[in-house]
Amino acid sequence: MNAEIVGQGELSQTIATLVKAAGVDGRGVELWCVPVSELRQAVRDRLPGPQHRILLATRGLEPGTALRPSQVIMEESACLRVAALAGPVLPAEIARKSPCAAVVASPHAELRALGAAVLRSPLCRVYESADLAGVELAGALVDVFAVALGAARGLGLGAGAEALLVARAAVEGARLAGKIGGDPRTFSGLAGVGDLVACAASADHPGHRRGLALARGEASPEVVAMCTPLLRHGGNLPIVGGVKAVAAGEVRGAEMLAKLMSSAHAGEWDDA
Amino acid sequence: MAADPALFRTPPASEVAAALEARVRRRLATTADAPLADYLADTLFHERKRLERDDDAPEYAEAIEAGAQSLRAMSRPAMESSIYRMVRHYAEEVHNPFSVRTYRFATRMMPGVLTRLLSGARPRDLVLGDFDLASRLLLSGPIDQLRRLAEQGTLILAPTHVSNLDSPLIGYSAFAAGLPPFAYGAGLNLFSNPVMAFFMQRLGAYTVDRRKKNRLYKDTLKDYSTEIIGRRHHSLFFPGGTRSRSGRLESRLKKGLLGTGLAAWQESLAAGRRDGEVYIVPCTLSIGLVLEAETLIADSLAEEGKQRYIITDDEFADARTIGRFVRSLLQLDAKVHVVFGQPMDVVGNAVDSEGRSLDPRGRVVDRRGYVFDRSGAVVSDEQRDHLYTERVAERLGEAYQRDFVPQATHLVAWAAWQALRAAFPGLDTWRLVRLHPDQAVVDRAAVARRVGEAMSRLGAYHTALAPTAERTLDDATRVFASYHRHRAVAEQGPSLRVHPELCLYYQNRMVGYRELR
Repeated sequence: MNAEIVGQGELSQTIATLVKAAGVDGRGVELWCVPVSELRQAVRDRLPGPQHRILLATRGLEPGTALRPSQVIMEESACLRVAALAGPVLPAEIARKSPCAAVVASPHAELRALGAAVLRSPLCRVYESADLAGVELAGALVDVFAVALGAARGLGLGAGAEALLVARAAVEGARLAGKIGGDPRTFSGLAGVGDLVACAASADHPGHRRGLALARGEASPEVVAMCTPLLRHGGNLPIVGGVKAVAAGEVRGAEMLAKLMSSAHAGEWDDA
Repeated sequence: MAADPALFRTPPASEVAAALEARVRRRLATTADAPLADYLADTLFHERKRLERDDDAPEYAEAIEAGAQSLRAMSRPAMESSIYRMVRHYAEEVHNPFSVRTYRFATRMMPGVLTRLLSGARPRDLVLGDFDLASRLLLSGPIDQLRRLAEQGTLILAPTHVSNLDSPLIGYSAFAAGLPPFAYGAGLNLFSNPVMAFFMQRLGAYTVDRRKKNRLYKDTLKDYSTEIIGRRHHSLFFPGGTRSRSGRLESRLKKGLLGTGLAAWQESLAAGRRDGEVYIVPCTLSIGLVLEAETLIADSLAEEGKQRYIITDDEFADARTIGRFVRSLLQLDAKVHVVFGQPMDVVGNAVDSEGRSLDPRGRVVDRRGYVFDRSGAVVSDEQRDHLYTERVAERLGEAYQRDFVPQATHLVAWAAWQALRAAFPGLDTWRLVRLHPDQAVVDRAAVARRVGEAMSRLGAYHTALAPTAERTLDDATRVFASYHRHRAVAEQGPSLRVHPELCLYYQNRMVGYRELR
């Protein structure tokens, strides 16, 4: 019997494909594919308890509270065994059976092994991590960095600029992870840089489309909502701050690019 | 009428030794040869090294030496029996049978006995109780709930720890609150006072020899704790592990003994017992002066790595100092605030008046789901249990911060320390504590102003403080003048003279209050 999938939409279909390919007995684990803005209500509706094990494919931080998805579950329920799923799992590629990889993160060794088992197949390599906070944070950051990459492309920048963006995103990810108690190395793995490289290579990624719109000068409340909770954690996050300013219409993309390029800088991993 | 507590029926040492041996036998049954040899080697190595310094029973020392000599040639059965012999030795050393007679005597004579004990009186004076300690203890918290939970399950009382006087004070507070007696681990050095030892051994203290650092001894202590909790002996742990050296409220807690509550609960579930519920109760103890403050802060400030886990030459070792300390408290009409916190289950969820676990929104949940598989069997998982115990430790740390009652000495030391820092902006903590006494002088009015601001920011926390900043300042300087060799904060005309080390110790109690940041 397959693991139960909670939620609807493209992501849940993709996860269902992976679960089916793994073909293992997934009883006892639930895969939640619920948008972060709807997660709290979903917890209230389903009321997971001590006996539940949840693998969360939800990305982003909760608007308003800036909590990570697993924190929302633990704030609303007595469920303690929660894992996060992240990584370059692109629906279009899964649909055409192209191989992919993901990371399952939880401090609970038993849950991450179970979570990995229900997704692991020749179609998908699944790595395990104990860094739940770092992986959840990486998922939230990648969505914003993908917008930045789309904007860079919209502004007609080249591969060098994109590589600069990815590398500095890695530093920013490590910096924020360190601040919230995650492992600074996590962002360099599948959940962070791995996913970001996939975004850079995928023209139909939603972040890419949003970035192109920003480059055209269109404001985006949706992108602002993605950035705001990340910035609430404080710290030096110039790319996230820059994306938010452009998305809020405070500054144009080209001006932000000039500002970022001329900002003070020294050691590559300073503050990270 | 409530049944007698299980601690009244402590088993003889031989029965405890057999139970602990059975536990280690079960563990070794699933241990391969190589890790077993490592385990024994670790024990023999540490014990041999320790015995170069410490005395122990000659036959035990000989067995260690013989084991170390023949370790390489030992067969598996020989290694196992060597381990079982040591476990039995440890069990008999750790276990002290509870004496109902002594308990009834002590509780009848309390508080006089305890007061006289605390003031270092001669044994023949012990029965002449003439002072009511109860009037100095202010107990608060969900005491009725705790009494009910103690009837239906086993309590683990987890207090903050600043002084060796905490154990008798908490023990007496539990008695005064109508709670049953608690078993607790006491360092071997505390048994050096024969009068204290007489009562401690008979009133629930089990002996912990912190000089023994080997894994087998630590495992035996954990097994002992699991065993007695399983036998429904209410237990007291200091999760900080030792007295707070810096004076700060404990935030990093040791999980070893704390996890034994979870282990005992799972064993009772697996055995289908209905009376095996275990509840953890945070407890904070607040007193304006700390007997050993000068030694503890000096140790905390000692060069890193030189902090002593066992201190044998502090103020507690001198009965006259204890006497002077207690007399100071009596003359000051000082109050001891003991707050029993909200009880929780063994994974850190709050429990209701019936002992049922509650989720963060107050809904009742079935906690057995944390350890059951789908068929309702208990699944053993050490790593999972470690995470659950970490959660309990976090909840305890939060409770300490929430429940602790700051005293005038803490708040005034905090304000004086802030003023000192402001006066010497270029100096870090290490340089500040080395200031010459003539330099460590701050403006009294500025400190009073800070005290007033802090009192309004602390709001509900300052129940132990006088209504005004001026009176709080007066209270603190009066208390500081009463006992320590140096005054943490003392009046000096329009200024306050600060003893930086002691001031730091008392102000550290306020570290962690968001309201004061």
